[in-house]
Amino acid sequence: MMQVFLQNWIYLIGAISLFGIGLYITLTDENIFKIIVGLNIIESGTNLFMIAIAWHPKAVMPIYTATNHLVVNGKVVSADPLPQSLVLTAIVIGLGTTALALTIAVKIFEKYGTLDVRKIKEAKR
Amino acid sequence: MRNDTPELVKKITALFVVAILLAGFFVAFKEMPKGPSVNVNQRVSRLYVLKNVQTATKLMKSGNFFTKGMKPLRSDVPYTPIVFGKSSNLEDGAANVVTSIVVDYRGFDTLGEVTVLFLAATGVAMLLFGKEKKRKKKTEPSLIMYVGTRIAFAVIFLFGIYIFVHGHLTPGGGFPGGAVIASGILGLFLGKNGYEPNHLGLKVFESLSGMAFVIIGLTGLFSVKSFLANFLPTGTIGDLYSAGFIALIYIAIGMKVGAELSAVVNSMIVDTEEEWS
Amino acid sequence: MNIFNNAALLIGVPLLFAFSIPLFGLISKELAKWVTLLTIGFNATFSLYILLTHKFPTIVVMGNWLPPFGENLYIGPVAALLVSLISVIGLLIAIYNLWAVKRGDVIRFSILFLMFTAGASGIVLTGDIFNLFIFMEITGISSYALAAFGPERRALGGAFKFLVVSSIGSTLYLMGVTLIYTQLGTLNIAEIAARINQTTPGLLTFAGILIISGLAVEAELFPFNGWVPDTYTGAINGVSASLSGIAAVSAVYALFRIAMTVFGKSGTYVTTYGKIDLMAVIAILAATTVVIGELSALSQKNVKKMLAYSSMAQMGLIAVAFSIGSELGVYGGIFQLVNHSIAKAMLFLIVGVLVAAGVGENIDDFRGLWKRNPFLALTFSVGAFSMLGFPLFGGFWSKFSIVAASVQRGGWYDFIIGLVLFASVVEAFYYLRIVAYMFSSDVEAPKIKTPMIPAIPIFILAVSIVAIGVFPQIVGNFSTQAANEFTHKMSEYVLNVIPTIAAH
Repeated sequence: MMQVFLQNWIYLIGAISLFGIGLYITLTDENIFKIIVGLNIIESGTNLFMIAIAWHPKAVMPIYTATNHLVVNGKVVSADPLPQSLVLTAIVIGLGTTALALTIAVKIFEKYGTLDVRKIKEAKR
Repeated sequence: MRNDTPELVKKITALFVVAILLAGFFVAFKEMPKGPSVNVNQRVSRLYVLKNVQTATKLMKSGNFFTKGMKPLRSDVPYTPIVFGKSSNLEDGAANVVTSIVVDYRGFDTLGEVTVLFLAATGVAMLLFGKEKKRKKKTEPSLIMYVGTRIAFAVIFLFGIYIFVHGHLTPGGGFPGGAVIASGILGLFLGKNGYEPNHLGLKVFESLSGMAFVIIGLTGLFSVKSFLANFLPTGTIGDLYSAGFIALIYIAIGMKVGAELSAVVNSMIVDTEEEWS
Repeated sequence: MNIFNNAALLIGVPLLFAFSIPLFGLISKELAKWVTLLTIGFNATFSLYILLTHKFPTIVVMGNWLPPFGENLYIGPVAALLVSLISVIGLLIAIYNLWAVKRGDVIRFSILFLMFTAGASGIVLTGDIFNLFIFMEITGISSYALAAFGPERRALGGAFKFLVVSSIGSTLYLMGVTLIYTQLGTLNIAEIAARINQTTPGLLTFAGILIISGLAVEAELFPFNGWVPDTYTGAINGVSASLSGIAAVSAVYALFRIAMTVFGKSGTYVTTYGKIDLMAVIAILAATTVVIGELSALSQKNVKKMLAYSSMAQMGLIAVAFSIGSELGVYGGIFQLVNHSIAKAMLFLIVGVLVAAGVGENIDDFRGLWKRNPFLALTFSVGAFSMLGFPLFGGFWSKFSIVAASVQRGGWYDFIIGLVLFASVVEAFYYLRIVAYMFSSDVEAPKIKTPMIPAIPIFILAVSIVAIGVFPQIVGNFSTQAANEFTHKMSEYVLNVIPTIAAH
């Protein structure tokens, strides 16, 4: 049983560490491109977390082929297909957000001449 | 958050926030179910799968469901094993179970996702709108690059089409297929400075494929009375012509994503000058 | 369980036309703006039809799989009221955009605006947690791009900040949803609401905190609302009006759908399951938002920034009203939501007309507006009085119900209502300051002509504020039914979607 705990836990811990590293980068860096990279790392961490949930050590892939059987002896042995479909969607959404963020970064550089987020402030009042 | 606080305070706050989140996750992990425990709900209605919304409404109205001591479906109906290449007329019929969830059971989410990508590409094009500036680049790509990308483009294009046409049989589907096509077009951009794709063609392709997806959904609404219903026959599992409308939708999505990402690549590679005339 | 599948057209028709606008745009730019306007008009007509002929509560089945095995939309009194509100305000802002958006990439602006409205309607209609995330992203991505649109460069900084904070929020929300999925195995709101007792308290509390943090970003609650002033100030006025009148409405609805229906525990006052009472957490955050928003708005000289802080504070007030958890509280909250969208959208549109006519954005530029253009000064005053809660204007009834509900709750809610009343006094001060400037007569300045097209939405919104003030039953009846839906989650929500689920 400890084997079952450990194998799934390693993936979950890895995904959550990615999330933490990405969050730290996004909150503290001052170069716009590094903030966008941080956002991407957060999203990678989230997607890995969702896939890691769908897996258990005896899982087979959820695709019917000539040799792959998803239900053996009345028990379901395939991996859970629902989080995998959620991840497909989440990856595409991350792509859309990154594209838009990069465009805004390009325009900020065009109009302000700098990529430092601390310098693109307007007057307070 | 991003104001004039000193650097050290910002770093310590960020570390604090991250630590709290990680601690919370560890607390949650201890309580997550472990091992192959698929949590199948036992107390939900017997209307597990009804292909016909009208039958369901009729049964509901006649009150056939509120009897006590109702057994869950799994003990009602014995499971018949699914054999690749032989079982036919299944509920959904796709060999790739993930695809059947993405397009059939949760097809509305996929429609939303296609919309998100469309809006992102539109936003990118809107912000980078303007007159094209002819900028002289310092180096021209070499002849090998020029010829090689064109030869490779044919193979990449065919590979992308293969991925999205076989979405219901093998892993992949519309989104990776479209991305592969767009990377082939990126190769064409790298092969020659000043490559111009056919803008009108890309725009028309993208719009028509998107409209095709919604029109398939509306056909389901007007024929079977439910939006995005699978109204085509499901055939034998493992054939190319199986799984109802999944192949059609993935073809529409693949073409749309390919055209869209090519337009995004085009907007970002070409320098434009903003015009607010 | 009633099934009304044609209501899927509320989402299907905007999508169809949004995909086709690039083709229309090849013909002419004006045609694109008109397609947007007519499609939002269709949405408004259909949703008003559902609301006024009382076709709710009903579900819309997607993909021919009944819930919880497929997705569904749920149209109850709340959804019917809020979809009508969003569509009508979207229609009026689209009419304003016919006049205001002329330069730049107009075709793509129309696509984004149409999908922004449709996405917000989708958030309000949906009955599935992951579908809510998708519609939140549709609304979010279109609003990032809309906020960065415009000739000024300060729009870009605001839009970038909005993008980063909102993306982090969406990711936190997704993590929360996944944690709940591991223990329950379903993503349907009604089923999770009925079986929430089967989760363990630690995971439930943490997932609840993640989900609420994700939604509080869009709903402008402290401490996630740093993006509000810069984004509202930088965006063009039509976009600011829609951000505060459409996006914030749907986000507050989503926040309380999750807090009160999914995690909620029925009782005299609705609280939540788990180790911490999430409604109390939201109440504290919302009260802080109100105080900080009002105090910051006091010291602003730029009208748009002042309206932005006021918007933030009003969202906090609405969240306080909902978090009281009694029927009167939710009634006050929904009523205030309707009043605030109408009034704030109108105020931003008026500022848009004035800026285009050459009047600056500072408060001092409003001096003597009554003599320059009585129509705009009058409508601005109507909006300001409604925000304050004067009798005879719409805001009075809602603020009165909020105060009454919180006095009824007692306990530490007395302290919260003290803060809110203090904030109302501050609000009165800065709004009446502008009204006084407008009616002052010591400045001679040229007259401003009111352009015809944007005057239509401004006039309709002003008339509706006065109408709601004099006849509060117009909104009050639907708000009472809506309050019933939030406070009795099993009988009014869950059993309408899955009638045979065994209650917990």
